[in-house]
Amino acid sequence: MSALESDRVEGQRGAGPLPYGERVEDLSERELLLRLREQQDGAAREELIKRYLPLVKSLARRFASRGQPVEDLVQVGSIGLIKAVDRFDLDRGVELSTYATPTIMGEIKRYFRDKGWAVKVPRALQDLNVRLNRVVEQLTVELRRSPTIAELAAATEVSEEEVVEALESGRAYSSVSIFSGGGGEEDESLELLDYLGTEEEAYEIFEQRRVLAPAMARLDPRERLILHLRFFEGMTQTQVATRIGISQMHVSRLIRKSIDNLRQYMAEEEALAEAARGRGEV
Amino acid sequence: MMRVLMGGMASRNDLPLDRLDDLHLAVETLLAEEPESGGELTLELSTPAGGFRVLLGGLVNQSVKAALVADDLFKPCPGCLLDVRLILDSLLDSHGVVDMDGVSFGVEMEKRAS
Repeated sequence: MSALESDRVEGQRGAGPLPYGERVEDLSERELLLRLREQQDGAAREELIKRYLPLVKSLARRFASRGQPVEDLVQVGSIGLIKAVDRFDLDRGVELSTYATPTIMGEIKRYFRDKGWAVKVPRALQDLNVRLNRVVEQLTVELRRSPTIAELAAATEVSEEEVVEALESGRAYSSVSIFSGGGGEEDESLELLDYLGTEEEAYEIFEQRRVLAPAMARLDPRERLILHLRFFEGMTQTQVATRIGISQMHVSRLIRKSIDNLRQYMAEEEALAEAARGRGEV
Repeated sequence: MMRVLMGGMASRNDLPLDRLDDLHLAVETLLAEEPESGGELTLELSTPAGGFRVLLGGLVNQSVKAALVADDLFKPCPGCLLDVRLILDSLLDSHGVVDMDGVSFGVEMEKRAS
């Protein structure tokens, strides 16, 4: 079939009723998009969504370790996919997958961000907290040290009291989003996980110390790394942040989470040991 | 509330954010070791030149006290008390135990602004 004939066939199938015996599943992506745009064909829309669901599942699985069920993330990602299908502009000359991927990722990240607020925090305070995360980063680079509250207030043009309040509100942000980066919407937020692959040696050193074994062994590798750098290497939060490539405020949250987990594990192990003693096993 | 108060005081003394956070974490660590049915706790904040001092009083966990006053350097061994000592040593410029009423004790913690 010549290119001219192919275009004609695509044009016929992309618009108007489908020829007898043809099924929507047999249409190309472009034909489906044409039918959706020109006829608002629900069946074509549904077929496009069905075809791209594996992409949603694949992207959702990338966030599987962040404390939310993957099925929930697939549902949220599917909303992003539907938005992408509905908003896609055929004339832009890009593939639907190229357009859909950031839209799906954005929807999943938004879910983590919204879900992350453990208690009700006024929107303005949330926004200020997000701004402060960025400003802390900028000022840390400029000043080569962590900024003071007064400096943050000046940079964000709010009062020192508001800065303190917004920083405190950030603690209401739960650990489900703890592995996100500096708060940017577009970042992949996986840099810490990627980085950890190169730190096996650090874990080994840390585990050799056996300071809090066996509870330490139950910590996530990234938690062990953070604790190692802060408490055994003697790095400041800002130095740890620079070393790992995340924000100082993020390091702060990670340290707290790691210590909380450590404390919980130790309590569990003490309870188990106590139970074993009660049974005469020790 | 404790963190907001400390944040307010820190802003008067130009304590950088990461240093303030270390102080927060030190106080939280001590609080986490206290029994839930413990008595009244007190928090005294002061800003000596170039630093920030916190006195957390009313603590009753004697094991924590023993770990903090031990003369020998930190020696790793299994046990949750050791992490309190390690954490405070790492987070603070100085810390010390203050006897209060014979039953409870306080921990004085200092963090310098630079």
